[in-house]
Amino acid sequence: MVSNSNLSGLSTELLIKIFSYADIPDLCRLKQTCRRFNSIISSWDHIILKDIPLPLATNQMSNIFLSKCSHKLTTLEKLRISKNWTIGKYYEKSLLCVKKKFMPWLQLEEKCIWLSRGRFVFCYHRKGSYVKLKPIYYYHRETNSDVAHFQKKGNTLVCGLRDGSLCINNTVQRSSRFLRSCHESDVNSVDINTNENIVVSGGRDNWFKVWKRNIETNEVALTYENNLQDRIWKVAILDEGPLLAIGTSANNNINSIFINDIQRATNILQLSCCEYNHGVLDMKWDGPHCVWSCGYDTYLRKWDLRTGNCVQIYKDPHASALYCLDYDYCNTVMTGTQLHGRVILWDVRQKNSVQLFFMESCKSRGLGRNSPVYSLAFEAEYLFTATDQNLNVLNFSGYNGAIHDYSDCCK
Amino acid sequence: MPNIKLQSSDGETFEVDVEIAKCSVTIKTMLEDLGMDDEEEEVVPLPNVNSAILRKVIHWATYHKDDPPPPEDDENKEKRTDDISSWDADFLKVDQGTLFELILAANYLDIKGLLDVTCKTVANMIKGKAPEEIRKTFNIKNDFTASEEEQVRKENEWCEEK
Repeated sequence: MVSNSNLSGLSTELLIKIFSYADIPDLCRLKQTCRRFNSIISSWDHIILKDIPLPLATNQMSNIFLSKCSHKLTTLEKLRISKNWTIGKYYEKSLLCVKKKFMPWLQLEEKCIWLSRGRFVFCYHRKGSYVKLKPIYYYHRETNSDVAHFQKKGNTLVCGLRDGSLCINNTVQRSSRFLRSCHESDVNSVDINTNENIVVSGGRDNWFKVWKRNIETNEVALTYENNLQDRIWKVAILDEGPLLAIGTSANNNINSIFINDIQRATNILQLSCCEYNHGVLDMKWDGPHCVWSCGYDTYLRKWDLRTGNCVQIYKDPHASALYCLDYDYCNTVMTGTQLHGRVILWDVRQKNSVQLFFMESCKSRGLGRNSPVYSLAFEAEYLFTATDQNLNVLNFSGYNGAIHDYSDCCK
Repeated sequence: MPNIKLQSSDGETFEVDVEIAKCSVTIKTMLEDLGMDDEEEEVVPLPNVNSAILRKVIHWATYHKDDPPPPEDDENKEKRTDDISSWDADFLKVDQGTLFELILAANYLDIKGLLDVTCKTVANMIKGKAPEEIRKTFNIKNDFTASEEEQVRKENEWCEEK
């Protein structure tokens, strides 16, 4: 009689039960013993390790975040790659290097990366960290003006230009609607809702404007506008409702964030951190009740709109202005700073930052190599940043990346 | 206290207190479904458990008969393996064949307490061992090719680094 009364003879179900009592190093060693254990642990590690805390940067809990990721990771891969983020173990590539300096913006999707530079918005196909260097590009025949900001959602690409124009492109039909002189000067920020029928623009001329768009004809009509007496740096529409968050430079006003109801065309809340020079440069909604913001005051903040208070606050260890932020809708925020091509990794469960990443292409080798991180986006395995002359790709998924550990500077 | 008779795969019959036998959810369900009367001299056949193992299981169940029912698996409960009672630890000082047969029996008879403690015991035998030591301990055949083994080692060495 062939006995199944040994470890290898047990059913998958029983092995899962036994393995769920093992710790993480034990599981990694069990995977190395034989093919069957390797495959059981890979396939079932979400059950075996179901009680562990959510890993930083790799948890893939939010579907919005997951939709940007190249791979859906197993639990052990999440833990391994999360550790790489935490200790700064990665490979870096600087791409698309140019002599001329730009103020780029970027946006990440699962299979492509969108980057604005000068007059153009480029769409590069990507496979993980590999970026195909032949982009599809958009520019506006009607003007020579640079793109100040853009937003891509669904099949729509909205561009805000430095001469005050707005351009709404259908990326499938490759048709566009150009709106000249919507603002008196730079359109610093644009956004579009998930239904792609409401466009918002915010300008250096202190105005924000809400536009209704007919998706079929791409006709656009102004529905609501207001002058906030301060330069507008950021507009962000809530995906789940009719709310619009507006971030200003807060030079003439005590308030830096305005929350408006765009259906009723009214302001419903104004937020202030009551500190000198607290202008907001980037914002992201966190569900319908909270907003993340960062800006000149060097703090990353989370606001709760139900109380109107700043409920979480994180200070940049080097006190530089924070230009941009990205969020995984769970526990990870990354901010791009004004100096040295530096990105900060935050675990929102901790007071201090976790790690710093310095873009190699910005390390001071002579003059003029000290760029802000103008824009950044991350997914579970990769970080993309746009500096004045480069697109930088940091790959955290490898086994042999070099360790760049600045966690001592985070305390 | 009424007794029932349990018959092992090799034909041996054990007379056991019904309440003790009912720590096995399998037996409890069987008795309930069949509506067995206390009067009847029914024998419950257990074709998956031999007499040596059934004797051990009854020994374990008799010792633990007054235990509170084991808690349901709690999502947030920490998985501990260092909470094995000294009686259970002594009870499980058996050869590996017996240990795995106890796991199979506890699984078949659906005795959660016994299954938990036997699985923890195996997990403790794995703890801290290198892959080769685990193979040796449990007589596992290394069926990786050399290059696969190198690949899987590379994939997993992160957990060894501090």
